[in-house]
Amino acid sequence: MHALAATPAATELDELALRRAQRGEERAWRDLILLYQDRVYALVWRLLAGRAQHRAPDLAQETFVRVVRALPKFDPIGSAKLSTWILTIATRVALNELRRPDADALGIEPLAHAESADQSVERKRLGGAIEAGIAALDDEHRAVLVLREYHELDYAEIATALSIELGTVKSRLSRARAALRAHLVTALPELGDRHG
Amino acid sequence: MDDDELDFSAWAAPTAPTGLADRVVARVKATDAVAVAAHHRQRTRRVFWWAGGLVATLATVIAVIVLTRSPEPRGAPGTGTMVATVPQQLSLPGVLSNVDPGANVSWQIAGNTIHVQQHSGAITWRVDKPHLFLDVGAAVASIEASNATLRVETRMNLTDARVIGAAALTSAAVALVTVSVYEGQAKLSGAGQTVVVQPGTTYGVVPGKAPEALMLSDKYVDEVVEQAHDLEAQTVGGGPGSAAVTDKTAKPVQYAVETSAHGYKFGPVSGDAIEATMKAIEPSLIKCIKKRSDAQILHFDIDPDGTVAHLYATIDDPVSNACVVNLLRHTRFPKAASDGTSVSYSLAPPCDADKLLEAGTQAVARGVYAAGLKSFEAALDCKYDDHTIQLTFMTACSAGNVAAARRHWKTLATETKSRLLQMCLRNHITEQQLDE
Repeated sequence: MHALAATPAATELDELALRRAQRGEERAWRDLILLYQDRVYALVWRLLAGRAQHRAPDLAQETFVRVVRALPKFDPIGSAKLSTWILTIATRVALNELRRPDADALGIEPLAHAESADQSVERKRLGGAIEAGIAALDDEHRAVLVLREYHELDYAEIATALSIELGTVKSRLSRARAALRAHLVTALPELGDRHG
Repeated sequence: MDDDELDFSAWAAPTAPTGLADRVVARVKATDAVAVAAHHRQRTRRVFWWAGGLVATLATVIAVIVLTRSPEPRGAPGTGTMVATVPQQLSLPGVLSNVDPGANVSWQIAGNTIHVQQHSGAITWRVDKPHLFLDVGAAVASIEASNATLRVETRMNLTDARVIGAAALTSAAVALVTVSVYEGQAKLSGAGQTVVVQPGTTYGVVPGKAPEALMLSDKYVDEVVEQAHDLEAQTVGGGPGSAAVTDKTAKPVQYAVETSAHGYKFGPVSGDAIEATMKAIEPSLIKCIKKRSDAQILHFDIDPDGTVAHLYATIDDPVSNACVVNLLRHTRFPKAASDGTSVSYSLAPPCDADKLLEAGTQAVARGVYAAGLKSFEAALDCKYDDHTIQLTFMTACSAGNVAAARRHWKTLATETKSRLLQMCLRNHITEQQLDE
């Protein structure tokens, strides 16, 4: 089990390093990967929750191979931030994996918790319940919720990442939250009691 | 519980595995090296290609001269177009096809390969020796077939009234392309993904989406088999005695597309008549799709004799699908003098699952588990998915309702059971009780 990730740093690759990476400098590629790898890995790992999390390392690698190859086409002064662009690629790689014709053969995996010693029992239970609730969502709803809640993409960025309308983002997010809330209240009734 | 108060960080993700950057860089460099080597080989071979190209060009010129001097070209011309107004046969070298009225097709023959563009309509193809490459519905789908019998149908969406008969058909006008293979195999591509369609199966392609397997009515399968046998009985190859190629450029009969809240129809039977017939059987149809969460789309054709043919239901549950197919098979619509009518009909779900789930959640939040269980069980009747089953089971445990918990325990996946058992144990319901 890997160590727990720190809160994702909201930093972007500096402009010069990006230019060097776009020109194909290996050192700059490494800088880019090291900066974004935890965010990409966390995203892929969460999107695959309960389905194929063992594939997360391969898919993170595949994401960065595609990123490096497509990097010359990235427009630094375009509307998308580099992190959003990379997370979009990661999302598509993960969703494609889940849509594979043999995806059902992947089966349901026992949920793999990323635990740390300092997590209280209550917090562990909450984490487990959130994981199970998100894992129970279908792929489209899960992607919207994870991109919004864990990667803080705005609605327009999510719409672009998933190639869907803005209204669809809002409705999916609303449904996903409702479904997660239902799951949590049922799995952890004390949450409902506490918050009325 | 407010979403803003939820601590999402309680579900922490692991950090990326070490060495990820090394592996990515190694992969990119390795594939780049292969690409460079391939480019180099290509350059060194270019001189040979020039020589080979010269020979090939000369051969082509000679072949063209010989062919154009031939007094009676056999089979179909090298290129052609057909817009069928009545059922017609199209015979190309090694390929025989039944073209349905309204179909619009053009072709180009190049050696042992035939490139066909099926712009619209339905055609049954029997492909013998050559490779047949089909672009269907403004490139929504492409098909490669050899030694196969298949039926390819293009269904238009609401905008087709504006484009049927027009030359500039766009993918936006195409609602669905379906490919049924009776014999052999065909490769079907859509949105960058390719599947091999096996005999006896049908796939559908919606613009911009990958091919998906579709359920078919028995009647439709029977028809495909019948058509395939008809074609088999004919001479394949376009020689003397085979059906002649007819190049017709007349436009098909135009019908306006009628829309309603339920969908649309295209053809001679009136929209009101279709609505009335569907309304009469709707209660039975809804019983068929009980436990389905979303509206189901039924695509079907009404034959001139009022019977239903070519039914496509987007229902992935075989039991519900068979129920709908049987019901529609015995339904009679008004007859028409000629031509079939294409219908797309949306069947609303029998109840509002989201509302029931919300009611159940509220009840559980208030600690009224029995009411929550009732709502979730009602939701299960119209949304029978894993998430709803899990909620229902967990609430049955919280309510201490052994019978209900046992009932839903049996429907849980094995992996889910181990995860949710704790809910019942906490409420003094044992695994033995659940397994009884």
